[in-house]
Amino acid sequence: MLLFVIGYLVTAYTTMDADSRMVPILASYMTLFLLGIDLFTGWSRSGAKARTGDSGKDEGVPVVREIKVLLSIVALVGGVFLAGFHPAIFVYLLVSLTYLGQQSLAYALVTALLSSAAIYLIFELGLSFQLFPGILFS
Amino acid sequence: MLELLLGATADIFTLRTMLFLQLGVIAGLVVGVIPGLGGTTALAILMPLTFGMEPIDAFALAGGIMGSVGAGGAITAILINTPGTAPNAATCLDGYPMARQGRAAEALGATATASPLGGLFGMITLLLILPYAKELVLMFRPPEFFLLAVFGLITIALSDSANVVRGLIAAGVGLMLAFVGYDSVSGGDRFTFGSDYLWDGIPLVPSLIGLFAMTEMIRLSISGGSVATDTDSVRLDGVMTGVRATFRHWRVVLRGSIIGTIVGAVPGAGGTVATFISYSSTKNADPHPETFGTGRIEGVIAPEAANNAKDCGALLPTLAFGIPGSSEMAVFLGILVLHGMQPGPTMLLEHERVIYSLIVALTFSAVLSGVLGLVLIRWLAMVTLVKGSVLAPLVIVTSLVGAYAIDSRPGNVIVAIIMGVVGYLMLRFHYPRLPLVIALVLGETAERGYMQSMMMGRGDWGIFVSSPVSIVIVILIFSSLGWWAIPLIMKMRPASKREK
Repeated sequence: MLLFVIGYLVTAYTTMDADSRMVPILASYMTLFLLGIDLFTGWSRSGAKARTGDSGKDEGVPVVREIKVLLSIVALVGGVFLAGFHPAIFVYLLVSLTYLGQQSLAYALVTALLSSAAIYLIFELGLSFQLFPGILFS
Repeated sequence: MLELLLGATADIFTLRTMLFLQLGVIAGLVVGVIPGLGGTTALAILMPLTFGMEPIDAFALAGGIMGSVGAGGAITAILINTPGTAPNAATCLDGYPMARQGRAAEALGATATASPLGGLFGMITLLLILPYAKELVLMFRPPEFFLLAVFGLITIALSDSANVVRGLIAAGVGLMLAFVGYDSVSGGDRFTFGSDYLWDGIPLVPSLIGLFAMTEMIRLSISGGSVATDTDSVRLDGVMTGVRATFRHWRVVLRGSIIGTIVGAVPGAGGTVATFISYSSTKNADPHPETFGTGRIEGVIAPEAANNAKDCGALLPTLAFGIPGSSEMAVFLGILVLHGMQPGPTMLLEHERVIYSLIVALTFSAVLSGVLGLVLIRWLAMVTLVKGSVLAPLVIVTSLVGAYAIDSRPGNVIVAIIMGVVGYLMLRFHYPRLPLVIALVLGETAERGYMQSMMMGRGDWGIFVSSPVSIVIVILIFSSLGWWAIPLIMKMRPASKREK
C-alpha cells in the first residue's frame, strides 16, 4: 500500500497539472499519514510481542496453497487472453479440481465439461453473446 | 403514493418479473446457506448477467436476492451453528441451542415468520418517509453532498472500531482509485497512462465482482474443505409452534424491526450491527436475561426481524443520496448504474415508480423466502456440504465471464482479478474492504461537491456551514468522530485517575 501511494504521488506530480492533481494528492497525503500511523503501531505491537516472547506468527494461513491458488487464477487470465474463454475455462477447471481440489480425474473432467457447456449454452446460444476468443484465435 | 404503490405492485406481479423475483429468492436462499458468500457476493456474481434485462426484471432479481439471503443464512445458523451471512451470527446464539434441544423446526418457523414481518415493517416505514425524502433531497446542494460523502466515508471507516486506522487507509486508497480517469472539473486525464480503457475511470462493476465474489472464492479455495459436514439436525416437526411464538412475541418483532430500519439507514452500521443491537436490547428488556443463549425463541425472533427490516432502511441513503449504507447496497447501486439510473436526488424525482417497485420486490421476496425457506430447508442445507475447493473454481469462472459480459471489454477481466487479489490481501492483512468500495463509489461525488462548493463560496470554507442541513451534517461528522475518540481517550487515562 505504501508503494502504491508513493507511486501514485510520483505519477500525480509528473503527469498532471496543479488543478487536476489537487484533490488526488490531498487524499494521497492523508493515506500516507495514516499508513505511517499503521506501520508505527504495527512495529510497536511486534516489538512488544518480541519482548514478551510471543512469536506472533500467523500459522493459520497456508502460504504455499495461497500462492498456488493465486497463480492458478493468473494462469486462467493468461489463458483467457491467449486462447479465449472456452479453452481456458475448461483447462482451469480440470487442473484446479484435480490438483487443488483433490478430486478424481473423472469427476474433474465431467465437471469441467458440464460447466464449459453451460457457459457456452447460456452466453453464446442463449444470450447470443460472443465471449472473447483470445489473441491466438481472433 | 397509493397510486404509485399499486402501479409498482402491478409492475412486479407480471409473469416474467415474478419469475425473476422467484429466481432471485431461490438464488438468495441458496447463497445464504453458504457461509462466507452472502448477498453481496450473490449480487456481484449476478450483476453482469442482468445486463440486457429489462430494469424492472433486474431489480426484481436483485430484490429477491437481498430479501432472501438472510432467511437462507438463518437456516445454517440454526441447524449447524454456522451463520450463512454475517448478520445471522446473532441468530446462532439461541437458534443453535434450540436445534440441539430438538427444536430446530420451531426456531426455523420463528425465523420464517419474523423475517417477513420485519420486511413488512421496513416497507411501511420507508413508504411513510419517502414522500418527505424528496423535499429533504431538494435541500441538498454541492456543499451538503460533499459533507454527506465525508460523513458516509467516516461512519463506514469507524464502524469497525478495532480497525479504524486501517478502515481510513482503505477509504483513502478507494478515493485515490476513484480519481483515475477523465477529470470533469479540470478537463485533464488522470492516471490513465494513455489507456482508453481507464478514461472513464476504474469500472465499478468488475471492481465489485473482484472485491467481493473473487475475494471470497479465493479465500474459500485456499481454506479448502467443505463448508459444513453435519446436517443431522434437519428435523421438520414443530414449525407452527415457532410461527405462533412469533406472533405471541409481537413486541420483540416490533422492537427488532424498528432497530433494523433505523440502523439500516445509517451508512456503515450494517446488518450485523442491527441484529446484535436487536438481540441485546431484547435480552436486556427481558426479566430473565441470563436464560438467553440457552435456546430462547425471542433470541431468534429479535435478530431475524431486524435483519430484514434493515434492507428497506438501507435503501433510503442509497437511492436518495447515492450513498450505499452497506456492501450489499454498494453492489446494488452498481446494478442501478448498469441500467442507466443514477442514484441520488434525481433518481428520487425521475424514477419514483422504480423505487416503489423495488420496495414491493424486497417485501414480497421477504415473504416468499419465508415460505420457500420452510419448503426447501432440507435441500438448502445440503449446499453446505459442497467442498470449497470445488465450489470456488466454478464461481471464479462465472465471475470472470460475467465481468467480461458487461461491455465485452477484456480489461474488465483484469480489473476483476486485480481487485480480487487486492481484496484477498486486504482480508489476509485485516484491512476492511467496505470503506474502499464506498470510497470508490463516493470519490467522484465528494470531489465534484468539493470543487463546486469552493467555486460557489469563492474559496471560503464557510460555505460548508452555510445552511441548516450542512450544519447538521457537520455536527454528525464530529459526533461520529467523538463517539469513536472519547472511549479511546478514556481508556488512555491512567487507571488511578479513572478510579477517582
